[in-house]
Amino acid sequence: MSTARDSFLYNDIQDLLEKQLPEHGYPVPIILIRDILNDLFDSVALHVWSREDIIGVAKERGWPISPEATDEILENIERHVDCELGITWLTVEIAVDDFYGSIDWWELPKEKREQYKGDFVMKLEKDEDLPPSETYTFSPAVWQGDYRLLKDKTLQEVFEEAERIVKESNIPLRLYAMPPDNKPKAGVEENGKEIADFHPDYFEEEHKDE
Amino acid sequence: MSKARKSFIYSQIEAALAELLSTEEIEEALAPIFDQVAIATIRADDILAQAQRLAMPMDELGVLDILNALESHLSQEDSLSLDAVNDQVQAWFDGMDWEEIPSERMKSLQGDFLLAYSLPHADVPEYKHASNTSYWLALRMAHRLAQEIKQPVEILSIDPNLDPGDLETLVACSHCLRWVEAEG
Repeated sequence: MSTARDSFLYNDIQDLLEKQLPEHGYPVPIILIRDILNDLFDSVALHVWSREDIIGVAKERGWPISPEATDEILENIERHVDCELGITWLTVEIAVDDFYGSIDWWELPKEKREQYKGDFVMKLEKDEDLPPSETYTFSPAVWQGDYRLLKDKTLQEVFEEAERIVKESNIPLRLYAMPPDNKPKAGVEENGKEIADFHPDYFEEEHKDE
Repeated sequence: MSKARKSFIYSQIEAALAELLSTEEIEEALAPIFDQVAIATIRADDILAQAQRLAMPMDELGVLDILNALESHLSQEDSLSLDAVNDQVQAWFDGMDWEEIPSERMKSLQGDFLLAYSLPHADVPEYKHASNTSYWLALRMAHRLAQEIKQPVEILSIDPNLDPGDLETLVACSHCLRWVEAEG
């Protein structure tokens, strides 16, 4: 019996149907549904991977995460299940890397950037040919040398902040997503994932276009 | 969306509840779960097919036991792979005492069998097929044969997917379930 197997999916489905059907006014006796589900769940073995598994792997690897991204990765995993191998942590890691490897963060619409959350580091990329603005000061309260850590921020917040700093300071910067608890400065390039670089030229061109 | 994905188990639930609820009603109720999971599934048919490939008789109870064992042994480290299915089917087979099975259970265990025996003074063994039948009937055939020839008969379970004419391969890939002695 699946109920003896303690399948959480089985219990979740049953609970949800029990709760939702009367709410929506569907007059289906739950005992009937339970009988049908019992037979069905007795004829399969299931290995269920959930959002938490994806979030764990993505965070560990230093990627920002959004609910939509999580569900898309789960969908990709399920679509490509190899019946010889099933789903393993390696499958999840590959799916996470494939998904993030194909994202162009600049091209993401604002609404999507607002959904991605994580820890980020900004790294100033000082350029001798670009004299820094004299009016902008890098507060030592938020900057550790050329690095600044932004914890638990949305990608959109970080993009806006990076853009503001580059425009005001005239110093290019590179943005990295970081695994949790990673200190800025220590291994940003090695442990972080490069998200985007911000250069004053980009915004000058933007102004010219305007 | 799970609806777009049409995962095996979602489709099965949809089909099972089709007489009670519309597709939209099922989707509305279950989308919150199925949109947030990825599911690997092993079905009863997979177990049956694997048992055949491993030359083992099987019944519904055996399938349930194996599915149960598969789920119970699952962890995020051990996936629901064909290797895992092989291991559990083999463990189930090894755990069966083929000489002590009650006759009711014997009737439910289906498979392909080969009855092996040697006639006095013969150099090579003889074989008789008992295809697509129950272990119980194969055992009865073996008893009858043993009485006829006054020699012991070995019951081998075989892979039905192999060429029935290729006895060497059939026997090499078979499992001995038990011997039947001539009575009296």
